[in-house]
Amino acid sequence: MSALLWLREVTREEIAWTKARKADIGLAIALFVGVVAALLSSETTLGFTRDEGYYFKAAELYFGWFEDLWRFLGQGDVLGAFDTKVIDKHWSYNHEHPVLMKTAFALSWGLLKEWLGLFDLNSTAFRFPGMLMGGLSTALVFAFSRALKLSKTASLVAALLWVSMPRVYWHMHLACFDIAVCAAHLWLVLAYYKGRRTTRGAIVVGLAFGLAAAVKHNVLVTPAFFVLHWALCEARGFLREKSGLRIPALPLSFFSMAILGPIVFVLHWPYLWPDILKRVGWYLGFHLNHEHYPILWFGDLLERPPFPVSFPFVMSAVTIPLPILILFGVSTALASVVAARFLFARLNGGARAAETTLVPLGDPQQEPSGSVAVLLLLNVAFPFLLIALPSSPIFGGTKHWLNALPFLCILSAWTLSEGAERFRRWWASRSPKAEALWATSRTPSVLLVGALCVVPAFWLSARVHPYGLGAYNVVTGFARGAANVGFQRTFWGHEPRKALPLINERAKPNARISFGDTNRDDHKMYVRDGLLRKDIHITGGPSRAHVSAVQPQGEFKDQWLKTLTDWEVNGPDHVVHLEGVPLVTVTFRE
Amino acid sequence: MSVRLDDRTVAALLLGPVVLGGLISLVGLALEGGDVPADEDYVALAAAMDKTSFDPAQDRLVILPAWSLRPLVAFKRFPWISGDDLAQRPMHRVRDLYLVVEPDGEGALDAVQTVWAAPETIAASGPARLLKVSTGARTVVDDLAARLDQAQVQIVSSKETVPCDQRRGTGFGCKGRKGWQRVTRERLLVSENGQEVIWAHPPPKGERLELTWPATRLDDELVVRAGFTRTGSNWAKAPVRLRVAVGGEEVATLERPVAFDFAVDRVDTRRFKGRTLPVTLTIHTRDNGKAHFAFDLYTAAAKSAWPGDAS
Repeated sequence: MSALLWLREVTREEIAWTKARKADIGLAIALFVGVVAALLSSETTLGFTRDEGYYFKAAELYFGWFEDLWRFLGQGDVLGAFDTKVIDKHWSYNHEHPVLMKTAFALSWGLLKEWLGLFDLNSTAFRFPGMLMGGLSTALVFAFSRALKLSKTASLVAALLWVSMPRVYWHMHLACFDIAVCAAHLWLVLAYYKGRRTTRGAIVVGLAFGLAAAVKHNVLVTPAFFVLHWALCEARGFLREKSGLRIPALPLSFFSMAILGPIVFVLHWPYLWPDILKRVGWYLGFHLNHEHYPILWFGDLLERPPFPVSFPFVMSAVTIPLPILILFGVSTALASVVAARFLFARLNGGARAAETTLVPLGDPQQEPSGSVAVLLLLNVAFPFLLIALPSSPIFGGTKHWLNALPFLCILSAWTLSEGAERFRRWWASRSPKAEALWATSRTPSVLLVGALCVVPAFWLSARVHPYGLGAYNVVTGFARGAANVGFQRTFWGHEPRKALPLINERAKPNARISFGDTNRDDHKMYVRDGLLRKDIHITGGPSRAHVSAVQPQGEFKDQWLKTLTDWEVNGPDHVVHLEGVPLVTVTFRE
Repeated sequence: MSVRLDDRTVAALLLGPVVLGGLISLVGLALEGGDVPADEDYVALAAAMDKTSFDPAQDRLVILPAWSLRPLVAFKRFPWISGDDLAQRPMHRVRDLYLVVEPDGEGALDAVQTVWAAPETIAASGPARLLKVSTGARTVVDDLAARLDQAQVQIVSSKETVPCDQRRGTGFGCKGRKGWQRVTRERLLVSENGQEVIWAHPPPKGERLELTWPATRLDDELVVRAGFTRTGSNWAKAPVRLRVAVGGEEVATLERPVAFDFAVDRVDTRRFKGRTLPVTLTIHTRDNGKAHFAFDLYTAAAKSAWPGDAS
């Protein structure tokens, strides 16, 4: 009888676990679908960035290789597409970045638009995989939070914190890699957290690392964090012997990252195949010596190192919505305390410290919260510290440390849970018989404070769209305040899209347009997608142009003034602006 | 020593600042919305400006904050100057300043009021206002920058003299020299939002750029404004030196360090007052790499046109 009872209990648990898991999967899918749907609807007003122009072109070239591959196979020539000349013809363009995302852009355009006709615009088809990564990153924040045993509500708040930040949401629209690498980084760390102790999990970690590296180089150092985490939090048995230092057995996942990671990386990128070492060396060298682009900083135009160490911290402080910023700070402090206590206890004889918090981070039976805190903090700290180096390029607004933010969102959800649990316990202690909502559940507190964080963020996001790169928070006084202080108002050349109907209406036939930061490949896409008249050609500076659409800030302000001087005009005909802050001046030459 | 905090304190520490931040953010977002003038506001103010006694020969329009450009669409028919450092710039050329002031321009307006009289409000529309400030009578006597086309320009060295007499836009190019070796009147980024000045890139080491206005009417002072553009301030390698001569006599030697500062020098020319003499400006440097440089030059009667001057 007791065996039957036990079986019934196990089955109930199994059913409950399966239901919970299905609910989680359902929520993750809902988040994914919701974010992608939102991005598709808000993408239509967002102009093309400079880098997107390059990636549109790259994606089409890469798709050409797949067409060649198909053609060669059809002719029975299995190796034809792998000839160096054929590879270089298609893959040599833009070989400073790996090609996982660009290949996705290519296949989305080539298959979903050209073949199946699912998209009207080429640009939307190219951008679609970027949006999918936006949805995926949001779902992964939720999934990681749930993997750390945070409640569904808290995990949902974590995901909403991530997607509600204006600059994050804006980046999710693009055919670029910055959000994709956030998703890849998240998946890598999640894979490491969950699977590092099993053989199967270690293989997944190795594959995840290879795929993450195939998105963008930001994650190349991540294995070092895992090594550091292992050394600080898990390794036992370091022994100094007469013959030297005895290192304990290394986790299998380190080897899988070291072996599988490069294999996956090389396999994904045909350009590398003809000369792997030389071409990988070039790729790494390019990013170690990246050129610098000007950035406006408190009224100064910073063009070369040394750059201010405070740059990533100040930029985060003025761009992340205030309540989220504060929550990030509080979470970092809490995680640091928990991590420090854990490390201190480990350092002093290895006795396990009691959990500092009421809400653990992860499963304390498997791993102390302090160890998980160390893992997450390492992945938060490095992106900031790297950009804080005076020699690091600081162009790109806030995108170069974006991949720290999802981990901050997860820590924030945990912090909210801890605060809510403390509040609940205190409320319940005021009256032992209290049955009020706040005494029995921490969900209302998490929801309320979470809402106070995400509502202003969504509001700001909606207000600045489609100029998310001009989003500043209440600390500076939003966009106008940032202009007063002398911060970069925008960058990347996407701003003129809103002015294109006016340009189409007023430009004379066969006009030449001086397009400022908007490059030739973007111009080509505007024409190709029917957003700009095809007889309007792009030219260099304003001297030979009939239309001038330039960004009056930073290094492009000269072009705006040159328009006034060369054309002998006294002002623009139209200004594209964000809350009155000029982003593009549009002038027509009579 | 361990610190024990009770649940209420921990909850307050973890959640309190976040709640406060959320409320501040919501209030800020709600209040910020009304700060942006509509296009119609500028049109209305421009119409009001048409009814004033604005004289394009001696008055100027200014928009505050200086970064705002939208008003220019409606105000294009009025000559304007940028709102950069208004209180520090000499206003000999200007009788009245007409200021379009929108939210965030109050700081610059306050600075203007410390130099000149309180402004008079002409009109208001939405959050934007049109004000008028008198800087006193226009006292420029000979505007050499405006008469650039009458100057003789050359590059002089111990070996040769290169004429810069090829007409180029509003000024001159130099024979056999690249495009940057020109002297032309342009709007240049010598301040955050630019000013109309004379581009004058110094020639290579050992050479000097000479500009001579043969018949210049002189008065109390010769006002020299000069400095690097934004690009020059970031990339130039050496200071630029200027020499000013009146009737062949050197009256000032000035230096501009590599900095983003279009500084002003007032050269006392009272001993030449009332006379008409040649004025020569010489520009040179020991290293002219990326020396994007400009100047402004005129003679004037003294005027309380900047802080500290008696009216």
